[in-house]
Amino acid sequence: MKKLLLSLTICCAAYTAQAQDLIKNIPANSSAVVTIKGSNVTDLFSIKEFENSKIGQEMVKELARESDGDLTSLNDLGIDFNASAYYFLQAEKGVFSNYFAIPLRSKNGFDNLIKKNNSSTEKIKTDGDITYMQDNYDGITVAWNDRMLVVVISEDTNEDDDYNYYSYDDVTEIEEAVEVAVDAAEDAVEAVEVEEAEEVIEIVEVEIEDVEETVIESTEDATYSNDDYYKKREERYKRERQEREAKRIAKTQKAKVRNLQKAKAFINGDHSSNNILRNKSYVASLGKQNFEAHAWAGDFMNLYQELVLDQMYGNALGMYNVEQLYNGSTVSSTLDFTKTSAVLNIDYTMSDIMAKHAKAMYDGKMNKDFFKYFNEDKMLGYMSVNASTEGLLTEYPKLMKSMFANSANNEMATMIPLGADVLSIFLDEEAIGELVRGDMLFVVNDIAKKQITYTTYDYDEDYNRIPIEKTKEETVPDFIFMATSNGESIFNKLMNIAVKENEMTVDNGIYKFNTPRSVPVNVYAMHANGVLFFATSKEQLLAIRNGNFNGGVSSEHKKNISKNTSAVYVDGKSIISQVPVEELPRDFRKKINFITSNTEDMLITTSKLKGNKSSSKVVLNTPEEGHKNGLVYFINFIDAFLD
Amino acid sequence: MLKKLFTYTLLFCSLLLCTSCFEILEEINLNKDGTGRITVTANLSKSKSKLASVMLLDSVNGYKVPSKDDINLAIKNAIDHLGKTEGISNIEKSVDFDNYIFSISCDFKSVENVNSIFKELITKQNKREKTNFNTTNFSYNNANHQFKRHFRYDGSVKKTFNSLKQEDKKVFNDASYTTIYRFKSLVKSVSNSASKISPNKKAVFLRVAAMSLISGEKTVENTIQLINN
Repeated sequence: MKKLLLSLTICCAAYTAQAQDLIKNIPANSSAVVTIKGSNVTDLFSIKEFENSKIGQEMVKELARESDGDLTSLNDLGIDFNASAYYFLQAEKGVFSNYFAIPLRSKNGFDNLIKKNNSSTEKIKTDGDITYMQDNYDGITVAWNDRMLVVVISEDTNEDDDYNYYSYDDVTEIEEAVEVAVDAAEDAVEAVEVEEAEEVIEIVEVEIEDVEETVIESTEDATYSNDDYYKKREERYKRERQEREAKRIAKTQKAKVRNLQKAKAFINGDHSSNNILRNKSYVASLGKQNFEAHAWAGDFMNLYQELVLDQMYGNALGMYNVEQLYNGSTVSSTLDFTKTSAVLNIDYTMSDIMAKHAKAMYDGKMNKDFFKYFNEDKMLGYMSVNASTEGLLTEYPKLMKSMFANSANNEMATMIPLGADVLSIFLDEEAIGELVRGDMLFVVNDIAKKQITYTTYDYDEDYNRIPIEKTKEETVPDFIFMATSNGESIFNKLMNIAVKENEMTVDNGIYKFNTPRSVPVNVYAMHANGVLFFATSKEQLLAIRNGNFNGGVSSEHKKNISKNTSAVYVDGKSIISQVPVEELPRDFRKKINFITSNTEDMLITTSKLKGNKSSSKVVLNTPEEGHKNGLVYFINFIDAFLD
Repeated sequence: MLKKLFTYTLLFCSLLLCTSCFEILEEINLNKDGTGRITVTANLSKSKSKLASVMLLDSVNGYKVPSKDDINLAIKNAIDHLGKTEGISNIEKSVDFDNYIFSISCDFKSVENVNSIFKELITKQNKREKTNFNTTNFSYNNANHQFKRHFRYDGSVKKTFNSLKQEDKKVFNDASYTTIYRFKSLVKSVSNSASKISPNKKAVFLRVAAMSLISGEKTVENTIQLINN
């Protein structure tokens, strides 16, 4: 019995907790939903802590000013910071509705704020327990009760745009008037030219400009004032302006009615029986809900069709097979702050056909030898791409074919697939894949100091100028680029052509680009051990070729590079520590202390396709010391820069 | 892709770290009869790393970056303009994209001819922006052997400078404007106390920091009295 009672209590508590969450008021057919998970955010950083930060203090100060001192803390606003706030987009029959929904503990705080900021309280209306106000220009509606506040902004794309100032007739008339004026000006110019024929050419040219201006002005005056044309046109403009204004008012009125109805439906929970939690794609994207923020966009095709359906862009839909390529595509993303990081996850689920092409294009295999050719201790960052050149060259024409094969545009439907076939015939995908396989790695080793010469002047006793060369120290990047390649002979042939054309010089099998003297780094190229190298350090290339380069990379970076389609790593801490402070912009120097002691590293990865899903991840590691967690780090960062 | 990577890596480093500055030189060798030769040089060599990086881009900080062709065309236009100016001859140019040093020089029959090179441009500027710049930059009085470098400060310079973004203002931090006038006669006196007379008394040197010129603290204005010998 006890167990039953306990279960019932838990069920009720769970139900109540869910009932309070505004998610149940969001309709199932929403196209996009963004969530700020209040409880997770306040767990990391309480409202009190936020109010003590500089940015929080500024907000509270502003709040007190706006409410004439009635509201002295963020809690006075009545917002339930422990519950989730939402944005969602609904697209129905060409009507796009944007909702911003905020949970409230009570409406008193918000009532006060609104009343203080609206001298005319006529704008504020009530209907049952719902209070609302609407903008007279575009019908934006803000409605609230004791539990929630919702802002609705909608647009009906089926309605005409009534804001074009000139009609087609006007443009034609203006063009005609200009032509008449120009003709008259040309006649006058000819007359002037005859009269002034004796004058020097330059003088005539100057006068022509003046005469042209005068004649155009006087012709315009004559056209407008000779008859009642100008008057009639003005009347027509006035009439059209009034018509436009009437249309606009009617449109706003419609928007007001629509927005209010939508706001009420949301607050009253009209969609609770068919809410977004019934949308499988949305629910799947939620995962364990450890996030602080979450965003989801549903089926792209639905949104696209709503946007282009019956619109002037309708033809674009038939231009290529959008549906086939993007059908069922969704994007979802989460932002999660941990104790030592901020993590942004983005998942893109693509259509079957798109996934098939993408899989072949990114079916790369990272060359493990790359890890022997750079040293993590001296590494400031890297960027890797793990694609398949052969796959790209084979699949891209196929993608083009499938995009345009059933195009409504006959020319495109014929020419593009034909072009794709021709391209495939001419390209030897396998041979090109031999030259550059598709796996590449770019590593910034160091930011090194280099002596740069520049020309300035000295002067002898008689102040005759003598050009002299001086040197100064500049900071230049030291990098290496590697790509797997089996085309050593093609590489050597290409390099030899470049040497003959004086674009490069060669020394001991290492080619040097003849970069302009003004470029502060030298770039060398080499083909060795089945790898194509470009690097700024000749010594590094020589050591690699001679097999005595001491490379060393941790398993973590090896994994990042080889297991993902692409990876970008930036060791912010090392970069900042190498930046010579005296060379930084003066304003920036003040902030450098905070950055130097508070910057860690960042990693951006895009995973290989799993099923139809591609996952990207941005991880910004944050220092533990001085920052309770990743979110606090950002608040502290903003505070440091607010001074 | 490699070019892009290289460009952006270099650009990131150079925009953040490389210093930028330039010097402008105005040199006149004046003969006793008032004829002479003027050379104007823009030396951006100290900023060449940054310029080389910036020129790989189409625009930076919202400003269009001129290509080599654009610069060559501007120099050609300047030379064409000089060629049409009365009393100007023997025009020479020097373009060095390795060091970013550009100079134009020409002979003149009188310094009035030099004034007329920019007269139209300055008049237009004054009319358009309601500024008050001199249209006469140089004068030479053969009778009393006096050479003058005219310069009238206009507050609009400072105003325009203040409207620039902080990053763009930095370009002027180490920039300078140098005038060197060489004469066949001996120099008796100079009005600008910042200028120096050479030991042989036949040349006058003045270097003004661009920032002082912009703020109006210093001037290139100078009256040079020559001895009739």
